[in-house]
Amino acid sequence: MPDEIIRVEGLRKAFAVRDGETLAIDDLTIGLRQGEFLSVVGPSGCGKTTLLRCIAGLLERDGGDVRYRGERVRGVLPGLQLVFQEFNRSLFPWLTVERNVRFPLHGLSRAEAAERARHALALVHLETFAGHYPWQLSGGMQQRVALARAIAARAELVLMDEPFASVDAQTRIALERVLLDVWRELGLSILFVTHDIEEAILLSDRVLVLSQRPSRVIAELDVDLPRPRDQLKTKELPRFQDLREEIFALLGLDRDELLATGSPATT
Amino acid sequence: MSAVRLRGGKVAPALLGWVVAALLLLLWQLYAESAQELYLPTFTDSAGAAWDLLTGATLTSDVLPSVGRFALGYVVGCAVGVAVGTPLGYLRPLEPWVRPVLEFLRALPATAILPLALLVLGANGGMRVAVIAFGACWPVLLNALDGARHVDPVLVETGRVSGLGRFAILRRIVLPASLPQIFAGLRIALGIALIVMVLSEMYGASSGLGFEILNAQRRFMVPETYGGVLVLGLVGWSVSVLFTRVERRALAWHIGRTGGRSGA
Repeated sequence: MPDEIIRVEGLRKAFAVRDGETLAIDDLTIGLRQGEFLSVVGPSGCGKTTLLRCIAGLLERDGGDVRYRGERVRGVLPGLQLVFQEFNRSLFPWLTVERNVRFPLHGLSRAEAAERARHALALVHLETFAGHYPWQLSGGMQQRVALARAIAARAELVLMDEPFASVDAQTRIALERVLLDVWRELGLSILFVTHDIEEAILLSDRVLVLSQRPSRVIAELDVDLPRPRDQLKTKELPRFQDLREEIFALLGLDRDELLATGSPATT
Repeated sequence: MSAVRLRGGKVAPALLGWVVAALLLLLWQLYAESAQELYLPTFTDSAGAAWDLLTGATLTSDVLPSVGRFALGYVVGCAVGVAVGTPLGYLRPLEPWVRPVLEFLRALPATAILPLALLVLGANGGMRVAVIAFGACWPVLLNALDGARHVDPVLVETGRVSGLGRFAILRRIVLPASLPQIFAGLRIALGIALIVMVLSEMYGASSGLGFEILNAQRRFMVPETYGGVLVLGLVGWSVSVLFTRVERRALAWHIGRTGGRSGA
């Protein structure tokens, strides 16, 4: 498709284990459209994080292609920023919030970089914390700094790896709102990995459901819910409930034997 | 004395140390005065000799050159340690190739190569600086190596997606992230450098603090021997205080984050 910013075709990734190798991802195909909010959900341990790192080019792929605007990419994707689940690990503890946000802006003049950082911090409502160090902030605030860094870098493409998985429920609601605002305002393309089905539906234009290892796309659902989305109203819509049930069923969460057989270890 | 309270009062703990130090000196003074032993001069005589060493012609002929060689050797050794250790830790595939060599050289006491250095490089200031640098570089190198090896991969990945090359990642991410461990190595190196400095001046030397101490001892100038040791202690102490200041500044972020616990 011409308006796709990222096209992942036939991706394959294996890891060496003691007796041979284990296949994490097999023949996985994903297209992310320009300006789209695409979520990926899957069972625990299905290789969602591996998938993101393969797409980003941080992990070597064992097969398949990643195309950026139609061009094959080897190595790290251009114009990309990552927001990790481990917010306390991706921010540099020796840099202030402002310096962290400016980090990817090498090559810009000092004034320009400062202005961009200020703007990005304002978008996530952290302008008054520019001089703080990351470890002086709460988890939710640190995650907003990571988001501000992606904004400041003018990333067209943001890959997010369960970014809100380790913050409390109320913070998560606030962060989801900030993310949707920023996404709409800047026209970002976002690939969002989560294990939270409701979060995926609430945020996304489309949801991809992955299978157990080796990961494949087993379903693709269009989230035809009106925007702007709302934490309460959107979740009450019958269509929201339908999508939720459908994904539940696809992941096998509606079956009783799930706990009896035990689920594989989480990543 | 009555102002020092053992409980409560914020001045007390800092002051206590000084009181103990003063008491020990007083004890030394009183004992030496009463015992009249040849090899135990009084504190005041020793301090007087130290004062002479610091204010006489020996300041420019012995004390300052010693401190200069110490500083130069230390800085060169530490610079080499960081410059070699950090990339070695970051470029993991290289490390197994050099590990045994590094471990062997590290285990070698720098003082043991002094006679060798004397033969090869000659009895001059450059030789002493080189041996001090050799002694100082190992703890820094190995700490930098370990620090760089254990940098959180997520930080490095953040650099890679931000379009940084290997060298930029090394300079902007790996180096600062390793600083807490590098500083631990720098502190160890400080002590080693001082030891090597003193000893290097006891081999084929005609000046320097180490030479003055040895020379005074050989000529049975007992207070002067004690004085030299006192000056040496003062130098080591001042350098250590200075180091702590620099460390607090450079690692303010680390101290704030970990609440002052050391280690990376």
